[in-house]
Amino acid sequence: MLFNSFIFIFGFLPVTYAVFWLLRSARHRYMWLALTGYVFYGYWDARFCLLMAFSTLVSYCAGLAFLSYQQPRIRRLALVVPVCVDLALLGFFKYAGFVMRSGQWLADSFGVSAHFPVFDIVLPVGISFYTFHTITYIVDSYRGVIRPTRNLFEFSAYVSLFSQLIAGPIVRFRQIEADLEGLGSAQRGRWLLLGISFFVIGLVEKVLVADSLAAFVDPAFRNYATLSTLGAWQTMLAYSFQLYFDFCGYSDMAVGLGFLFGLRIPQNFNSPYKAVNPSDFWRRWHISLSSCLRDYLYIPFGGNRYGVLATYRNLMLTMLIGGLWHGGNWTFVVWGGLHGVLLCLYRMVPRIWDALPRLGGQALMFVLVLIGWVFFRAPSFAVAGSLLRTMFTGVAGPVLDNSSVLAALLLLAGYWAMVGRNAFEFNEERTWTRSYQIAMAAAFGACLAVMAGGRNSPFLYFQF
Amino acid sequence: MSAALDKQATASDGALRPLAVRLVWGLLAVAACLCAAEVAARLDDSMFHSVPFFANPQYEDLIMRDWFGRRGRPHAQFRNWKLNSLGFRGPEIALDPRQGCTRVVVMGASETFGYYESPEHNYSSQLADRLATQGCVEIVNTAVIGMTLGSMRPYWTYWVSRLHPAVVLIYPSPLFYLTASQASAPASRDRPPLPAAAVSPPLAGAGQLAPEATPVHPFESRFIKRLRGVASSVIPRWVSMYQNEREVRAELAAQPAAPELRSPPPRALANFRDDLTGLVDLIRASGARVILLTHAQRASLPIEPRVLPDLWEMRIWAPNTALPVFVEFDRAGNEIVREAARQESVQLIDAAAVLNGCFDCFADLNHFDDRGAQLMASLISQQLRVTGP
Repeated sequence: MLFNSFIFIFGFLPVTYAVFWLLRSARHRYMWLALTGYVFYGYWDARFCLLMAFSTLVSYCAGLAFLSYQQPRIRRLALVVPVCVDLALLGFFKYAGFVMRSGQWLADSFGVSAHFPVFDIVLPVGISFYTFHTITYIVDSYRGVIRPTRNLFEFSAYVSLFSQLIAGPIVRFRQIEADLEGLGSAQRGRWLLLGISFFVIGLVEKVLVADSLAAFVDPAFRNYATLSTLGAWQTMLAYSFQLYFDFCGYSDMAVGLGFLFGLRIPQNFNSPYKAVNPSDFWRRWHISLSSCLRDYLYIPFGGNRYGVLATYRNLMLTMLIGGLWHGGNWTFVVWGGLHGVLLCLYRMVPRIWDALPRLGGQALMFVLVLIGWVFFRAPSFAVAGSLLRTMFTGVAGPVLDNSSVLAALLLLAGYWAMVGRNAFEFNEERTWTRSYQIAMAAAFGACLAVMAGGRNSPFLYFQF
Repeated sequence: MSAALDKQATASDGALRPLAVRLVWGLLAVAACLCAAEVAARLDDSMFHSVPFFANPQYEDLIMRDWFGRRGRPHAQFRNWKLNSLGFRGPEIALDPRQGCTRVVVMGASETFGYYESPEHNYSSQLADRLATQGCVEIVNTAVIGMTLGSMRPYWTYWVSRLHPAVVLIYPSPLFYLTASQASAPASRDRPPLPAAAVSPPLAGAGQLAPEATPVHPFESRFIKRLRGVASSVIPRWVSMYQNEREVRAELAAQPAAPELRSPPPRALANFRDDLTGLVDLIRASGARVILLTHAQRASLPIEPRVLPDLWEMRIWAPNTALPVFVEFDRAGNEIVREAARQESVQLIDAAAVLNGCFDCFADLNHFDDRGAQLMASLISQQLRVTGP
């Protein structure tokens, strides 16, 4: 079930919302949120609900163990075992095929006669996100950052909360703990308009901008070998904005849905294409993931505490793992590595980078990020290589079809992403005038019309 | 979460007004929503399908009546179906084949035109993609929705033959001949138009092609039209079956009592045979090579329960027909196609043998979905490879 589907907007959401506010106690609301989370998740494939329930139970039991035992050995056991279980689930479903393919490739490269089995495993949607939810919960409980909950329904509501279940943001328990605790006394009217506003802005980003750009990007990638240089740049520009508005739109809708149920979900995108250097970019792009990588990988690796070389090593390791998190493909590792190199470069020569005028820094960063997206989007190195060659070697040929529409869309998307305000800035500055509410209704209507035209597509981050 | 948003939440709390005021503003918001939706639907069509903003295209715009009968209207457009300047689906072509290229024309009705497939995924388009690596082969989809073999004869003589094809693929729809033998069907519902009354224009005479201008239609909301499309896709099958049954009963009640048709009517099959052999002779006389295709269906014998709704939908066109007859007639029609191919010594591609009974290859009883069209294209390209187009 997609947020941008009629079944969600006119079926699932109104029912979930109405029943949620009819229930009075926090306990009942936890139960309802957990139940609706499973219904939402089971809409894709009911079998995978069991997997999520298993992961939830394991992490919940770990939390109980932290509450019950203070001996370091037992606490370490309660940390290592459930984290390993979660990682094993993630590893099997997401990386088993990748490992086998890579092993086969290595064996073939060295002329070793080996036959690795081919796994054709269906990736449970959202597994990367909910395993991160449970792992951060376990680690934070172990560190004493949070007090684990004894209420299974509260924890289950947190893991299976439909607004953040499939593609994040990766909300840590500590970030919504207070709202979850106070769910029984949450006021419906308090966040209603904010929720609607965030949801509609997210819908506009996804349906009107990202899906419109997808109509150009997908056919262009299918025929990547026939692209001209201009066509390749058009494609990558369109993809850069498509990816941003797709994921940011999803995140903003998630924030809006959170508000509708009295839960404040943190910001996940802060206009990343306004970034002027790599470090700035990662403070703005997929904030929930980058902060997790920082807190659960980079700092435990040693961060910047053991000298310059160790810092570079830690940065590279973190970004390579961050790249791999996106999927079992070496192109993601290269993408992560590219950003790791950029972060290291910025650490080496921050003054040179910062000496650039703001506009120059922003443009440079955008082009570097765009080149990274080639590896992120391309299904293989052959496709990525071909695209990069086309982009930088002057291949003559036609531009993409319907280029005037694409140009208009790119201008609109570019202005919004690089100059305009994001949903959070917009809502912080906006007063709730009637005209604003009418404008929101009009924007919603426009989205419905485009959705009904059948051009809506799944969110790009669902595949991760 | 920023303090500013907290403040906004409090402010929005205070923004709630008395019920009457809220009701008025609510109505205004609904009006704004509907207006914006209509504008967005038209802009979307204009940007992505080149439909003029102020136009109100109708399904009928796709077809024009020329002096010899029906053909596609040049540059017509409805939903995502676009016709080129000659009134055919697919890219622009010249009347004469490009030098050194083999032109293959595909003739048929809505199954060939492409009804449910994604844009450019009808089997002719997919066939063109597949043959692209085999030298210069031009595939022209000349199918017209609702065209019988009978009406294909003047269509070939006065229009399609001007394309000078080297090969003509014919994908006949036998069921037209079954439905034509029944009472007229209700035309009110928006559904795949199966039987159009066979056009019988005079075959003699040398009139000029006189394309009509696209008619101007009164305003019709494109947003509502889109919503209808969404609604029809989410209506459960049993609801549409119930509606169907009601229509069929009403149709039957309006007709004089007659026994239910329990076997394929021989007269209709004879008409089908005559029209098929007549068309094949006509095309061969022009020097083009004919390839016949058998007609594929989602249903096969014995009938599976899951295809019953598809057969029920057919009863809207032939209300007095027992369900198995729709399958039996198609099978008998395919036997005629096979026999005609033998007698006339033309190549046969037996699509029915490969695709009949493939539930996931069709969107309804007769029309392909993307997968079915892909399999058709694959089948034809394999056979064409054997004999050379």
